[in-house]
Amino acid sequence: MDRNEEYKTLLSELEETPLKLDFTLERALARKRSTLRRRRKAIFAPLGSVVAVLAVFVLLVNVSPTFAYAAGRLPLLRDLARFVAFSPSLSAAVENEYVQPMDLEQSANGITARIEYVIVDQKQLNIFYTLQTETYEMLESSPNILGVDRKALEGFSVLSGDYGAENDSLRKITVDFSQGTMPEALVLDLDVYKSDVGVKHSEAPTPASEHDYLFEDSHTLPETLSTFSFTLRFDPNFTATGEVLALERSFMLDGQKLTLVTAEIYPTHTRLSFAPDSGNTAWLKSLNFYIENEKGERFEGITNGISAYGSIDSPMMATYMLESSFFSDSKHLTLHITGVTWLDKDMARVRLDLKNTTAETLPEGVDFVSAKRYDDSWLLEFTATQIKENNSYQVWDWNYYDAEGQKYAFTSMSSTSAGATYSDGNKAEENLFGVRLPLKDYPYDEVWLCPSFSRRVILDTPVSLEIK
Amino acid sequence: MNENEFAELIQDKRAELYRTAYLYLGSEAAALDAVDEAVYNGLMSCKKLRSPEYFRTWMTRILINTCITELRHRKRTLNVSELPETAVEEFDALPVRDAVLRLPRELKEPIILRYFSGLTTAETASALGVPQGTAATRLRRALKLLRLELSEEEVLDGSK
Repeated sequence: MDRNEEYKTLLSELEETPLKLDFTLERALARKRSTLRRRRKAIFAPLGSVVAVLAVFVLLVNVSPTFAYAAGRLPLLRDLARFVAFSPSLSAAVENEYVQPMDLEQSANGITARIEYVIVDQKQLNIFYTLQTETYEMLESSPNILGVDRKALEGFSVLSGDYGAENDSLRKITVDFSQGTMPEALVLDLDVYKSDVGVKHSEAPTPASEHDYLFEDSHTLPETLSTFSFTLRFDPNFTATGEVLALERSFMLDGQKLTLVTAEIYPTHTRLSFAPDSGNTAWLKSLNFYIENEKGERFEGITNGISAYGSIDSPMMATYMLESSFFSDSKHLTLHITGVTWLDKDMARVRLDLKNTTAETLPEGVDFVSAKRYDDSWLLEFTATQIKENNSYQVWDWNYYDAEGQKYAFTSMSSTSAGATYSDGNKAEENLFGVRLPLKDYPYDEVWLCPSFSRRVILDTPVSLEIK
Repeated sequence: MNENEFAELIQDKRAELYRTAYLYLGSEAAALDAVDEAVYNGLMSCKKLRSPEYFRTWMTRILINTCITELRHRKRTLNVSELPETAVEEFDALPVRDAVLRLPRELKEPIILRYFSGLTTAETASALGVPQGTAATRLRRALKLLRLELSEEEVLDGSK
């Protein structure tokens, strides 16, 4: 590769930006709010109270092991505040000292794992931990959540991801119970392995290896270096916290009838549960919405974390998560819905003719670009219109069907950034991102895919519902 | 400029700032930290910026200062040092990204801003606080060291 080609390749690599960059403004705004609040507190604190605080501090350090531990690790608590700055709910929890120090540590094979803090309520647990080593450059981990008797738990989701986390920096695991409530204690098993951060950067996949990657059966994790097992016991004051508002409020949204069943307000999030009407012609797939209180404070939908839960018996997304109003001291809360995404019931499955690259219908903003045959497999390429800069979204669900209704599942899906170059050498437009679907061991010329949505609607007049 | 205007403008500049910081510091994590710090500093002082047309160069200046501070802090831990302009063979042997990282600072800054972040030569000069002729000379020297021969068509569009 000549020098100019190398420059162009580097430029296109730099077009890929990490997801975390999307929330840089939110982190700055949260940090500014926190700084101003601290300044105000500092200005108004009279000298007498400073003396009183010092006296209480000495007393607490002497009588409370928890406080002594937290005080001894104050720099880390600051790290925690910085670490959660992207999340208004967790930031408010930290500012309101709604944090349970854990102080659990285990070491093995040159690796030390520490569980520093948890932020826990009736429904959600956020575990903040560090991995420290002098043996390896970078580490990653994979969590497994169990009951204290080491039996499997049900009705929860786990969200974690510490790819690229630096040695001894904070990492987070979120455990969210969609069914049931938080147990008094649970077990966290943490498999730790060597990170491949450097490897991935220097060995970008070639078209050939990308093809192999797409058609691989599974992508296995590297060899585990250490497994740690921690029993996390929660302060019952934290796990009891939360407020459930039974609403049963029916309303019309873009011609479909929905019922807002409950609003649940926890320190870590707010969750709204909706039920459909049997006469609806479309399933609810997502909402653009926010909650506002009487002071004009807004609590937006969660975008960086668990944002919604599906329904067991239909494609509907029934439960939605928003930032928490728990610490805002709100007397009144109003939900404002400004947009909605539907999946029309007659688009639950759509037929694609692979030989002629045509589709009977496609979700709004999606084009069927190509279908390439590799022996008995196919690679399908689509483009989809971005709705937010540098962001892709799910276009297809994980199952697909043949002409006889036989069900298959994708082994992988991949999306490419806006303006990316496709396998046929064409370049997608700047406002489009690409989606690639491998149909492995699928010899047929037609396939039925399941769209994740069919259309998006921005409402001319928002729908407003009082929830408190 | 008020906070809302700042918020609107910064959303379009995040990727550009990230590219600049990434090439300056050489790692994703360090670049994200630098952009976070720069955006926070920009947010805290945006009221001082009276003319929004200078937003891009003003924000770039803040980011570069942040990167310089970061490099000072990391000097002991970073295993990357600048090469002198005379080290032509060493530059030749390095991939473009690493070669940029190891350019002397006075050449690294203009080359990143002009050829990777998409600023015009005039904006590059303004962001660095040097005359346009000086910026152009440094760009030529940097291109020569990197053995890049770029026409205007091949350069990232500065208007984006």
